[in-house]
Amino acid sequence: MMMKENQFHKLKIIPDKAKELEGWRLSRKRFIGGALMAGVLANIPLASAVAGKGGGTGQLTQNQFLIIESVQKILYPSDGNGPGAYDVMADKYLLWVLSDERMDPEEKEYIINGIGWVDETAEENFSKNFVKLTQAEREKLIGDVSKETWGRSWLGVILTFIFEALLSDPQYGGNTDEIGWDWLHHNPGQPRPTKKLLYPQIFETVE
Amino acid sequence: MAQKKYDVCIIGSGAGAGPIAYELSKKGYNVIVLEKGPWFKTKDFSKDEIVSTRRNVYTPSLEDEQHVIETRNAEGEWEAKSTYSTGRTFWNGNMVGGSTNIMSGYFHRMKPNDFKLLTVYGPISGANIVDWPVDYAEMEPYFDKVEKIVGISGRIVNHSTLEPRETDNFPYPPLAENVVSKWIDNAANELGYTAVPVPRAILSIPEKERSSCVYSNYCGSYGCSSDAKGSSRVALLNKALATGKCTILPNSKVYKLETNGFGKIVKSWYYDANGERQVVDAELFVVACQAVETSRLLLMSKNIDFPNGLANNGGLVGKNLIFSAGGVGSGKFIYDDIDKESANQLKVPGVFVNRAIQNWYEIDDEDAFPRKTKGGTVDFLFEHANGISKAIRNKLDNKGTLVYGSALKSKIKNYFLNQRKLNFEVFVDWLPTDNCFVTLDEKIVDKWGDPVAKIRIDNHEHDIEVGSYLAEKAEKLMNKMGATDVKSSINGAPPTNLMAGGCRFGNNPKNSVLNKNCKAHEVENLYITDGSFMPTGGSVTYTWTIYANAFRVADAIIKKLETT
Repeated sequence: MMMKENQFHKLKIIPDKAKELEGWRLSRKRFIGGALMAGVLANIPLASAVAGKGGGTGQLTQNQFLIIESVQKILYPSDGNGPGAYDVMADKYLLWVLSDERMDPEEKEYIINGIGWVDETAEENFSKNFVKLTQAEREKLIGDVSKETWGRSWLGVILTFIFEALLSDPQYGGNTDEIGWDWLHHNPGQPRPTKKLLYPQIFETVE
Repeated sequence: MAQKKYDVCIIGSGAGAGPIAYELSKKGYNVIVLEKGPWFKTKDFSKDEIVSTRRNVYTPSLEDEQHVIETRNAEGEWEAKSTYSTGRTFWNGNMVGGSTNIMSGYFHRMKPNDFKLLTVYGPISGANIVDWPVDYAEMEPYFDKVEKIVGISGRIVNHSTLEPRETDNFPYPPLAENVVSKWIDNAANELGYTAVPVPRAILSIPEKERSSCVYSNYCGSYGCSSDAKGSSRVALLNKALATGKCTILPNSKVYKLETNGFGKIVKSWYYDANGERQVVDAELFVVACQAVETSRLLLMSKNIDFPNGLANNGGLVGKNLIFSAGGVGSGKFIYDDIDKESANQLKVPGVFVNRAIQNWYEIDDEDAFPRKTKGGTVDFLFEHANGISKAIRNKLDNKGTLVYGSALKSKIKNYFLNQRKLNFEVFVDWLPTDNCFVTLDEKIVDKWGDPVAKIRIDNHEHDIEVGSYLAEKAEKLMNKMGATDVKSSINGAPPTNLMAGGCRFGNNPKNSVLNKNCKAHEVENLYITDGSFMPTGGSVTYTWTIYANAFRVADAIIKKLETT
């Protein structure tokens, strides 16, 4: 179940798997069938990705999207020292992650719930919605959240996907023009994946 | 239509299965291999970090197939958690060729004393130590065979625990090395250690159908695109297929071995890719699903002959699970601290470290242990090149606080650009105990409705003592090399990729599941050829021993088939 926007969630439940900040990687749920979301890889129109449909595909509402985009920029800013989250299209990358039909719904829900918890904390601390906060207030908020147990875990997960956007093959939608690899002088291995060897297409490619 | 009857049905396709398929199909026997995972061919592998390490692609979905892991909690009580809830998979490579496709291929032989641990070093309270029913001399020709057929590269130097060998050197010369190998050699010399070149199951020069290593810098966790890595798939199964006598069925999950009421297996039942039940008839059955799943399959195959599971009338299946483990450590070389030329050489990617110390494979140090004690191996290797994983390692500061923003970016940049990290892995002779075993979980089932394996994991305190002793020696070497931030972590949590035991072999059916030739004492046509047979595992990674033993068992099976 997707949580409705603005619904307050007093219980900030952290899945066991997200507690291990360095150990966690995405699990894959059973794949039932249906079209793969390969379209997301290739220039999905942002408007349709964030159209607020909710449902089982993991897309975000406009408000959720604005919050996560802002959080990502605070976690990994474009500060002149290499690319930031914005430069590697970490927002679009996260939408691709959330649209992955093989992703465990519990993990998807956790990512989306966390956005609600951030908004809720904005209300508690500043008596206004996150999107109404000034940049300084947003930064203060994230600083406070990072010291909470739930915040440390959740922001840690969001950072993991920023790192994936920074350093995965550009065919996944992040790491624009290999800007992340260039910055860190990172040599990707050869051979690089062809389109049909990317996740999740590889499941259709292999016998 | 009558079902075709095979001479041999092999369940699993990794290191324990490949040699059987290879040897028997070459002898003209009809062999079928049932593998639960898909069939990745060489062309299907790339160096994509997302596929190889960030998603479950080479391992099953944990919703479909999980394990239950039981460990002691802080209060010392047993606590069971499913891997679906923790997200920590206990699967390795589920694919044709098994996890040998994605191994690093650090290959060590076991040494003569490893086969007679009880006799040489004596009992240890709380540990189920026994001698092996075979000795090194019986195994040596098969270690040699693996060098030639699977392909092992390396260089022999004389040292105190060098194993006796049939040949003077390896059939393949050593792989190219980073300058750091020389630094290890020099520091070892100064300290009076011997740095031993580590053999690798990676071709340094081409073989007929396989190219040599291209030094991609992405070896462990990744499939090999040049076929240099000695996976069961490339080195053995492809050659078995070429005989025309071997059939491999991927996506075929065996769930039951059916017996005929007289203790003989007649059928292997499996689910095909569509979840339909299928069956294979064969004269002889070989199980090699990796230790945990092999015990699970036996325990699941209950019938009138075997009410507690196949070959388990003695109640020993699943017991004495062991891991190749000990601990890890690391040190950093900061480029600014060394001259520019050395830094540039250190940065060269792809080429290997390939050094180990084995001076304390046997510890004779009264200050530390009251009597001669089995020690172990320390392998040195660079931190993996995986970029995303390296970034993730920078998320927290020393106090465990989340780092973010510009501070995080500076930290990551410094980590990537100003240092290279050398890791070490410690391998002790992990002791078998009554608290490390496999059973069937009573509640959780897999996607086919069958009970999943429940694994209780505990380590013997002695393993920590030996591991700590070895780590101290390794840290000393790192410090001598000029590394900074040298540290180690020795604990009882084993890596999940190197497992053995569960169906130990022995001469006495009262305390072993398998006989000397890895045939089940209780079943006339069941052989187990993965690491399950090992009662102890030596202070080394297991893979070479598993390959060698499977070649040995193949000879025994051929002898048996020839006489019947």
